[in-house]
Order: sequence, then C-alpha cells, then structure tokens
Amino acid sequence: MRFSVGNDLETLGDKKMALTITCPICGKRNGYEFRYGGEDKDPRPEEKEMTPESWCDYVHMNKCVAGVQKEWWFHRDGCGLWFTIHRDTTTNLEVVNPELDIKLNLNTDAKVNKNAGSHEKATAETGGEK
Amino acid sequence: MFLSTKPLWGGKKQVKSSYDVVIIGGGLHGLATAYYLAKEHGITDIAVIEKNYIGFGGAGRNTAIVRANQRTQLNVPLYKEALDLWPVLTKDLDYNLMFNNCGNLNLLHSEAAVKAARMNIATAQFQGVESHFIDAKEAKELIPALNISDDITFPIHGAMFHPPGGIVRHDAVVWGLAKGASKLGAHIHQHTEATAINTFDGKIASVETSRGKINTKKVFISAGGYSAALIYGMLGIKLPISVLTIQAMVTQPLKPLLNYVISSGAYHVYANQTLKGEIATGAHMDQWPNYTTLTTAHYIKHQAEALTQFLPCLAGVRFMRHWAGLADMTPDMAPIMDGNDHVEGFFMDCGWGYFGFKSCSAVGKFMAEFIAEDEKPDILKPFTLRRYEQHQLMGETAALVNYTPDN
Repeated sequence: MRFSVGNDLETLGDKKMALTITCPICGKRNGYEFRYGGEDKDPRPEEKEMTPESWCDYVHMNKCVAGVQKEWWFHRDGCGLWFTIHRDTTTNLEVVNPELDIKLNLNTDAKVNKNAGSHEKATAETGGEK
Repeated sequence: MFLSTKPLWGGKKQVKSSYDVVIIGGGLHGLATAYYLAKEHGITDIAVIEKNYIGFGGAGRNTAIVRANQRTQLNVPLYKEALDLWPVLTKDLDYNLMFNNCGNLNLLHSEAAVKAARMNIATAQFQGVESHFIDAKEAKELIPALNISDDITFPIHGAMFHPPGGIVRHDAVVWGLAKGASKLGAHIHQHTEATAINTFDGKIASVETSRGKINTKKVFISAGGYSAALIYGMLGIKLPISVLTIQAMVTQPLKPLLNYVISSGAYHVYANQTLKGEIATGAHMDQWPNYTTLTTAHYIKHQAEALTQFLPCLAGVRFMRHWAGLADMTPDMAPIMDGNDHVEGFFMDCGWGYFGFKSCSAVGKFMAEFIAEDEKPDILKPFTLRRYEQHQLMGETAALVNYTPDN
C-alpha cells in the first residue's frame, strides 16, 4: 500500500483548468459562484455522548486528502443549495461517480493506510478522473 | 570551483538502513532542524528525505518576507528569535543569505484597522520588537509613490511600521542550511519518497522509502503543505488543517520605487521590490482547498487592480512570472509543533499557512532541541495539537478567515 501525496504536473497535461462545480439544480457553473463547505464528515455528534475530543474532531479536524474527497459546497451566487460532490484535490476536477461514494463510506472503518490506497484503487476501477 | 557540478550539500549518498533521526521534508524547517540537531545537539546521524529536490515546495515559492509583528504574545517571541537569527546564520553558515533589512509597512485602511494595529504594535513593543504607528503622510514620506488620496476604494489611514523586518533570499537559505547540515554529517536524500511509517508498541520503528527501509526511533514530519495529508495517511492523526494553493508573481524589473515591504489586509495584497528590481507580490489563497499549485488569471487581475490603487505608478507594468505554492491553514492561524504525544518518537511541525518562511530559523533551533532532549522547550509549548480540543485556540486571527465553515 503506497501512500503518496503531491501532484505530478506532467501528468496533469491538458487538465489544467479552472474549477467548475455541478450544482444539482443549476448544472455546471464557474467555481467562483460557490462557497466551499468543508470535507464531508460523520454526522454531528449527539449532545449526550459528546466529549471535547469528539466535538473537536467534528468541528476542526480534516483528512486533507490529496486525491478524491467528498465535500460540501454552497451555491452562494446561485440557487442557495447545499450539496456534496467528489473532487480530486490535486487537479480541481469533479469526479462524477456514485459508486465511489459507497466505496469511500466502506473504507471509513478500515485502517488509514489501506484507506489511502483504496482511494486510488476505487478511482482506477471506476474510471475516475485521477 | 566555478565549473564544479557537485552541489554544496555533497553528492548523492547511499540510504543507510538506520539513522538516529529521519526528517521527512527537505524544506526550510526540515533542513534547519537537521542543521541545529547536528550543530547544537551532537546528533549527526540524520536523514533528510525529500520527494522532489530540496526547496521544491514552499521554501522556493514564498515571497521571502520576514517580520515579527504578529498578533499574540505567544507568537511574537518565536518570530523575533527567527528574525534575530538571520545575521547569525549568515555568519555561521558562511553563506550570504542576503537579508535585506528594509522594514515592513502594513497599510491600514479604516479606523477599525488602526485600532487593531495598535494592539499588534503594543504586543510587539512589549516583546521588545520595534513597531510603531505612522500616519498616511509619514507613510508617503517613506514611499513617495504611495497614493494617500481619498479617491481609492480603501483610502490609507496610516500604517504599522516595523523596521526590523525585510526580505531574505529564500533559495540561499535552503542552500545555506543544506550545506551547513551536510557538512556536519546529515544525509540529504533528494528524489526519495517516504511512503510509510511503521510503529511498534506505540513507538516509531522505521520509515519506508522509495529507496528502502530505514530503521529509526525518531521521525520528524515537516513537509509544509503536504504534512497534514502525510500525517493522516501514515499515522491516522487528523489535523485541523486546510491546504490551499496560494499564488505569487513578479513584474518586470523597475528602477527602485519601493524600499519597504508593503502589505494591505483590505486589498489582500503584499509586495516588495527585489534586489533585481522586480515587484514581487502575493495575494490571498484560493477559496477552496486544493493541491494543484496552479496559477489563475483571477489573481493576476486581482493583483493588478489592488496594486495600482495604492501604487498608481505601476499601471501598465507587466507581470513577468507567476507561480503558486501551498498554504496549510489552521483555524487560529497559528502552527502546530508537537511530538512524543500520539506516538513516541514522532514529531510534527505543520499548519504554518503562509508563515513558514519567516519562522524557519527559530523552528529549526527549537524543534531540534525538542527532538534531541525529548523535552518541549517552553517557547513551543503553546503550539500543541491538543489546544483545539481544549478550546485554547491562539487567536492569531482577529477576524476569522472564510475558506471553510470551520473558521
């Protein structure tokens, strides 16, 4: 399981372009119309069982994936919808693939190193953009 | 010597099967830590593992500004130490780091900004750092090209003047520290990728690299914008970090017109004139996290619009080069320097955002002490990772930044 971060500019090639986001209502639009809403995280912890650690984890902590991540966006200068997309953080390209969603969720319990490897695998198998 | 192709830090070396300390990231913080470990603590069996070439990341992409006029009492001493070290390092490394002690001018465009700056100034003065308030007229005396009229979007009310700051040649710092560290015995392995960290019984055991396994008891990750992804990917430790691309550019060379580092929060722009005459300028970060390090027309337009408002003589001047690097931002705009907590023998240094260059000398000095003695120096104690779960955020930012809902 090889873990790798950092892009390889040579492989980006003609994919160098500005961000576009596909809003479920308005369609594909310029990324500057949107506000980034953070990594998709587990549900907000219940008030009853909440600890400083679980709250901190929910509020502050990120995985900072260099690759495909599921994330929230808000169509600020548009219809006002909050929605999630998958995006490759090394290319700024949206990855449209519902299957990936399931695989990413399956991997949340797996060990982290495996998780990082599986991201690549999932993308390759399902023909993602990476 | 002139025709020698051997780098200052020696040729390519074999990766040994074990080292006392493995440093992941051949940037300024990693190299400075290696240098101080060898120089001050007698630990010379060090491997610096760099995926690309040394200085590939933020070390070679920043706008080279140094200063010590940050916001909080806990931050300023660290940056003061870093500032004081430039002349010392130049001497010790026997390498000209080209510290241009020109001073920094932080423009203030509202009464609220003036009020906020007064606090920064008081903090600096309390810590023995020279910093004072000047009005718009005085700013114009320092920089005659400055437009202090009322007819711009954000008229200039005054400035925070910080004479001890300036600019340092960033590549020279990379080369000088690499030279110093390798001369004392550290191995700098370029084009070598760290791929995994193995632990045993809660302790660091070894590091897997693209050139073989290295047994070690101490690992230090200091890989700039890539640190958070590496630390989570290799050890499963999540960090309160967002990684964003930040862009910078230089104009064609001009006659001297800007003899100070100038910055403006309202216009989101900072600039200095390099010793070659180019106006080097940087902007705000991308509005969403990414590792692309791609440049965009958006920021060329932004820089041109902002700069020509308060330096109208720059209208028509061409940008010559444009590049980008990564900033790893924390919610409180203060870094995380920690170690021996989650895993024994694991040390980390990240979350510097765009302050990594100006802090590198001091971080090297104190992280080396931490790694060598296993005892966190007092000056680093506030920068613990656990401050987030303890609700002890450092308040380095007065108004929270708008790049994630976390802030």
